Amino acid sequence: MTQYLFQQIINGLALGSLYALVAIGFSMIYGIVRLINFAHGDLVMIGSFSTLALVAAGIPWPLILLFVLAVGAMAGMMIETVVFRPMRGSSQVTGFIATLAVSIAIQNSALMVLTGQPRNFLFPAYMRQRLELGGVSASLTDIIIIVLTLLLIAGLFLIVYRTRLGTAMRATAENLTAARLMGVAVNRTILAAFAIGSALAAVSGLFWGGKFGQIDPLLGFVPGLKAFVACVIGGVGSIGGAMMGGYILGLAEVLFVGLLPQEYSGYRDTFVFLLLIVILLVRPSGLFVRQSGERA
Amino acid sequence: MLEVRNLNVVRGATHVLKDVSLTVREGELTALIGANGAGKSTTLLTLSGLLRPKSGEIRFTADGSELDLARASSEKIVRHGLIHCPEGRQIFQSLTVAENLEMGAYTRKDPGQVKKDMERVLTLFPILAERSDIPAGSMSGGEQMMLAIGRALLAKPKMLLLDEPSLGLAPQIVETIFDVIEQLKETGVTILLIEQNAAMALDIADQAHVLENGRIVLSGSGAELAANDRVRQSYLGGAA
Repeated sequence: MTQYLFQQIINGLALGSLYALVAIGFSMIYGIVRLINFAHGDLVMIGSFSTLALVAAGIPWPLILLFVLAVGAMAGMMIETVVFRPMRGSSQVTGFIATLAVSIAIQNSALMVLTGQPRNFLFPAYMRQRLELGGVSASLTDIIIIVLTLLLIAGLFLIVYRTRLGTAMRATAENLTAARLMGVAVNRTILAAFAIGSALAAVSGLFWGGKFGQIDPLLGFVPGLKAFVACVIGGVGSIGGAMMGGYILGLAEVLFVGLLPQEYSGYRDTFVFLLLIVILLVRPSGLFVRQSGERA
Repeated sequence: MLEVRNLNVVRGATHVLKDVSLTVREGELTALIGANGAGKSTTLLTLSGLLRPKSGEIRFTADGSELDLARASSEKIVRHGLIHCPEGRQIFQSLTVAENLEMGAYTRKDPGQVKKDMERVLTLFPILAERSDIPAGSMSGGEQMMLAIGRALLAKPKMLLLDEPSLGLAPQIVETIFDVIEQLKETGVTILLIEQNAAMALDIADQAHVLENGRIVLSGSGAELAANDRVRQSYLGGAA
């Protein structure tokens, strides 16, 4: 039983890491341009296919991680420059539809270039072994995902709360006009938020492939949707909230499947969305945001 | 220092500023008074590059170099030393007091001097030193106004645009703020002050302009305007 529960928790934390990485970027982008970016999930797909290409090119794994971060950042900056920037100042509905259009465009271009055929995606053998730890064991892949995610998030918090760029990003997210009056080049700050958020989503794609072993051009939809849920649970616009929301969601999903009788396991998403509804009924602005204001 | 000529600004369907011309001389405090909706804030927003004029010229000269404010980006305007302390304070509520002050110095590349200016601001407003690590939004209105002015000072203004610094504040705090404005003027900062509290503004102003429905209808020294019948009737409570 201990082993079983431990396994479930590790599994849930790994899945939660994937959601958290996507949710954080989602939340950063919403926080700064006040738009729900529906194309954000597709960066997960871009990240996983870039990984595949880089593996095929024979690049060593630690470097692949850096490359995927860079590819994600560039894709995010392109989306912001081409789609979001011209939309600045138009109504939310317009922006919302534009991001849907971007998502559909990315998915269909990927289908055209890569075909709908799922590809096998494997971490090298040494990453797939099991790790024994005093009576319990866990897959090294999950441990790697959890540890690297925590490191990436720690790095993100350092940037956001300890650097000039981070302060400018938070200032811009709160009050764009006042940030301009301070001489902040807000377009550059927004670009940075897109780059960072998208890089994290792309790395989530790398992990996604490693964890599930198979990828296809439409795989971004589910993580995008789950990241949205994670953000809502944690409080939209708050980075810490998005992270916690991701972990709560991942753990809840795995524990629903693991602890409920077998015949309910097909309904895991039903339970997840029920959980969302309950949380929204009790704390409408999310779990980690002061309830009075719009957001922290 | 600042030369505005035939400025026209349109916001949406409204022609807000009509052929506005005014001059602000270096080292002076110039007041712009007028009723709500006369176009005072629009004037300042246009000067700091957040609104674009339909026509007209705005020349800002500091340290011998001239900048065309009708075209320059807001970052460039800030770097040139024209600092706007906006209406309603607009401090960053979720950032700490210290972070707000750091944002004031955002464009500066002289950390040593920034540190000195920081000390100066904290001496001017000791309350900000006490509150340094708390979120700025949890402070009182008066404290937030001091923070807004402190933040503007950290940008090392050559010219300061002040939009309704007395708005919504208790009389005692308004006096503190006006004392600080006078001190700033004495240290050589050029100031363009917008106020609904015309009596106080004219009292400390070297030059003043009256804006009515988007037009400058009167200009003169602060004392002249304070003595003008029309100004007295419309803006100074009508006391004969």
